[in-house]
Amino acid sequence: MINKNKLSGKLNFYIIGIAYFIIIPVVFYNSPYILSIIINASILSCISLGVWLTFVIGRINIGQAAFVGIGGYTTAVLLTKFGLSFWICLPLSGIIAALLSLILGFALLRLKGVYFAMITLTLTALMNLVFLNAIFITNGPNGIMNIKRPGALIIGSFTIIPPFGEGNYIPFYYLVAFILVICLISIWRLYNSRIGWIFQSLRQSETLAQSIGINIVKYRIVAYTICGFLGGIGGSLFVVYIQNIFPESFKIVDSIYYMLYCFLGGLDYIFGPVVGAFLLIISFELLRNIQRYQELIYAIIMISVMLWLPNGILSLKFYRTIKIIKEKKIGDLRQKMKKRE
Amino acid sequence: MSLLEVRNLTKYFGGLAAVNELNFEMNEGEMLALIGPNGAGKSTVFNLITSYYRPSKGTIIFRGKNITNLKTHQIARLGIVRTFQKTNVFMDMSVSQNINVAHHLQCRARDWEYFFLSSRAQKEEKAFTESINKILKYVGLLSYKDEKAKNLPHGLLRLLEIAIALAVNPKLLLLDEPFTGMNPNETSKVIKAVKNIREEGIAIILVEHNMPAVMGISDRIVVMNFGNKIAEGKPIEILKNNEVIEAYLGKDIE
Amino acid sequence: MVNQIIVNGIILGSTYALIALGLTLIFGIMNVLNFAHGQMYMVGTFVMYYTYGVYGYNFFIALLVTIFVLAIIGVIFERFFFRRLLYYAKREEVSMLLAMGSALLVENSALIFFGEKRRGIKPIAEGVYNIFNAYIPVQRLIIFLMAILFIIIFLVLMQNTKTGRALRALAQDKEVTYLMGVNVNRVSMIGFAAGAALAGISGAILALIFPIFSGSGTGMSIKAFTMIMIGGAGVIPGAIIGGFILGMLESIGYGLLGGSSTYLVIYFGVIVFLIFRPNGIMGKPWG
Repeated sequence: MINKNKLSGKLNFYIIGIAYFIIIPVVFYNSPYILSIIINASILSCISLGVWLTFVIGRINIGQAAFVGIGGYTTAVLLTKFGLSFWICLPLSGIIAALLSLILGFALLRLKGVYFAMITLTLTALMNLVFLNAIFITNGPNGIMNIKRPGALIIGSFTIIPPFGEGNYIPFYYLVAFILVICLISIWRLYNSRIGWIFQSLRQSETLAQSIGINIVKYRIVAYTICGFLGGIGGSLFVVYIQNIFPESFKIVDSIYYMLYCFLGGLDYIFGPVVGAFLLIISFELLRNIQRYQELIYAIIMISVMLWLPNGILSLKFYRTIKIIKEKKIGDLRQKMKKRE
Repeated sequence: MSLLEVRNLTKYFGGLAAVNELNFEMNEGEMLALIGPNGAGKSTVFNLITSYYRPSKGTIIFRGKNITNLKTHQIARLGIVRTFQKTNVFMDMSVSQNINVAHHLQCRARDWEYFFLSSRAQKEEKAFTESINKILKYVGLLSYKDEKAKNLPHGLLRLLEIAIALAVNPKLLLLDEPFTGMNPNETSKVIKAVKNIREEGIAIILVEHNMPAVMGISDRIVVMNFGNKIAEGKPIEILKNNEVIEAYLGKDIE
Repeated sequence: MVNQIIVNGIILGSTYALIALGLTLIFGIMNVLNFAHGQMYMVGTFVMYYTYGVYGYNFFIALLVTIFVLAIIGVIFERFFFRRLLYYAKREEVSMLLAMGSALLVENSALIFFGEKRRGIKPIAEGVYNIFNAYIPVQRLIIFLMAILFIIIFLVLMQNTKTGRALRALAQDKEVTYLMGVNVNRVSMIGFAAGAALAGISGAILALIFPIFSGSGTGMSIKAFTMIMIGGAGVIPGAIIGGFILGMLESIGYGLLGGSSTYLVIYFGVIVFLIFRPNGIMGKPWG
C-alpha cells in the first residue's frame, strides 16, 4: 500500500519537476513575461509556505507582509547603501526577519484566535508606518529604487554564480526555483518529522500538549520564526526582482493574499500554498484585461472558496479519485511485471 | 521520602477559596482517591499540582523537589501526568498517532536529529512503534489503532486519554473523573486498565464521583468539601465518617 | 491647549465608541471578527454624502436612510455569507477569511462605483463655542450629542428589550439560548444588522468632519480592531472604553506628534499593552 503511494507521488514530482526546471525555461526562454509570472508565483509560494506553517500550529497570521517588508528593506538598504553582495543580503534578510519574529513571538504568541489575528494585522500596519518614518534608513515615502540584479557569487578565486544580467530573467528564474524547492523540501521534512507532529498537536490541544511534556512556548516560537525567515527571504527576492521598494510595497492586503493562497490550495497539504499561489497568479495573468478589477475578483474568489471549498482544492474528491486511479494502475502494472518473472 | 507532599495549598478565585489550606501526602505506588461533592475543588487541585493554575499559597513537593513554580511541561518531565475532566485528545490524529506524540519525553535524540532522521532518531521511532502497540494492548485499544480519534465513542476516548498519559511514562498519574459518562462495560475496561497501571508501580490519584468503583480500588481516600479537606483515611473508615455522609447527603432535618 | 486635546478626544471617542460597539456586538454573537466593519463605516459616509450632500435631504432623514441601508447589508452578510459557514466550517479560520473577502468585496465595489475621488459635505451648523478654554465648533458638539444619544439608545435597547436580552444571551452561550426557544437565526440576523447599522451611523456622522472616499474602510477597520484590543472583545463596556481611549490617544497624538507618527506610537503601544493584558481591559477570551 505504502509503496504504491510513494510511486504515484514520485511520478507526480518528476513530472512537475521536469516541467518547472526544464520545460518552462526552455520553451519560454525568450519570453520574460511568462518567466516573470512563474517567478512571481514562486516567490509568493515561499512566503505563503511560512504562513501555512503558522496555520499548522493553529494561529491566523496576518502579519507576514511585515516580515516580507523587513527582508526587502534589509536587502535594499544593504545593497544600495553598503554595497554588500546580494548573496550575503539574501540569507541576512532571512535571518534578521527570523530574529524579529523570535523576539516578537514571545509576546505575540501568547494570544490566540482573533486576538492573534488582530495583533498581527496591527503589526503589518505598524511596520508600514515604521518604514515610512525611518527616513534615515529607508528613504521614507520615496522608497529605494534602481536596485541592481544580483552580482556574481565569488568565493576565493572561484566564480560560483556569474552575475545576473539586467534584462535576462533566466538566471533569476533558476535562483527562485531553487530556493522554492529547498524551502518545500525543508518544510516537508519538518512537517513529517516529530516536530511536525508537535506542531499539529499545538493546533489541536495546547493544554494536552503541555501535559505530555511539550514545551509549547518553544515550539510555537520555532514555527513562527521559520515563518518570519521565509517571509524575509521572499522579501529579499522580491526586491531584486522588482528592483525597488516602498513603505507600502507589502501591506495588509498582501498578508491576506498569502493566507488566501494557503486556503485555496488546502490547509492540510504542504503543497497547498504553492498550488494556491500558482493557480491564482497564472489565472490572473490569463485574464489580464480585467486587471483593473483584480482585487474585486480576488474578493469574490475568497468568498466563494470559503463558502464552497473551505478545505481547498487539493482536498477535492476529484484529485483523490485521480490519485486512486493512478495507484491502481501502478498496482496493476506491478502485478503484470511480477507475472512475467 | 514520600512521593508527593501537598502543604497548605490554597487557591483564591476573586474572594472565593476554591482550595483552602489543603494538606496531604502520598507514597510511591499508592492509589489515592480524591472525592467530594461537585465544586469541592478536586479538579482545581489537579490544576494546581500540574501548574495549570498558580497557587495563591502553599507548596507542592514531588520526590523531595519543590515543583510549585515549575511549568506544566517541566512537571510532566519529572513524572506527573494528568488526564482531564473534559475529554482531551488530539481529535484529528489516529489513536496510534496520539500515543506516538505522547512519547515526546522519551526522546533522547534532539529535535534536529529528527529533522534529518539520524540513525538514533530512527531507532527511537522504531522503539516507539513497539511501545505504542504495547500500551494499546494494555488499555485494550489495539484494534482501534488506526482509527481517527474523533470517530471513537466517548468511553474509548477516555481510555485513549489514559493511554496517552501512560506513554509519557509517569511516576504519578492524576486521573480526573475517568469513569464519567461510561456504561458498565466501558467502566470495567477502565478499572482493568487502572489495575494494570498499579501493578507497574505507578502511583495514582483518582478524582471521582463513582463511589463503588473508587472504594474497591483505592488504598486511601481524601474527602474534600468547599475547598477544605474534611476527612482522610482508608475506605472503610471514610464510609463511617459522619462529616463525609453529611457533605454528600446533607444534615438531617431535626 | 490641553483642554482642546481633551475635548477633541472626547468628541472623537464618542463616535469611535459607536463603531466599537457595532464590532463587538457582531463578534459577541457570532464569534466572527467583522473585517468589513470599516467598509460598512465607509458605506455610511457615502449614503450620507448622496442623501444629504447630493440630493439635499434633511440630515436626520439621511441618517435614517443610512441606518436602513446598512441594516440591509448586515442582513445580507449574515444570511448569505456567515450563516452557511458557521454550520460546517471545518476550521475557525474560514469565517475570518470570509469576513476579509467581504471587506475587499465592499471596498472594491465602492471603488468601482464611486471612484477614488475624495468628497466632503456641507456642515450642518455654523459657529464655534468656547467652553473650558477650548474651541468647539457647534457642529462637533452636535456630533458628540448624537453619538452619545445613539450609545444610550443602544444600551437601553440591549438592556430592556426581548431582542436585546436574546442578543446578550447569545453572546454568552449559543446552545443554551437556542434551547431556551430563541430563534437564533433571526436574532443573529438582527444582531449583525444592528452592528452594521452602528458602523453606518458613525460613518454618517463622521462624514461631516472626515473625508469621504472609498478607501476609508481599511483604516477605520484597523482602528476598530485597535479599540477592541484595548477595551476587550465581545463585551459592551470594553467597546465603549476602547472607543474613548482610542479617541483620546488619537487626539493627544495629533496634538503632540502630528501626522503618521501618531499611529506608529499607538500601534506599538497596543502591542506592548497586549503583552501585559492579552484580553484587553475587559475582554472575553476567544473560544
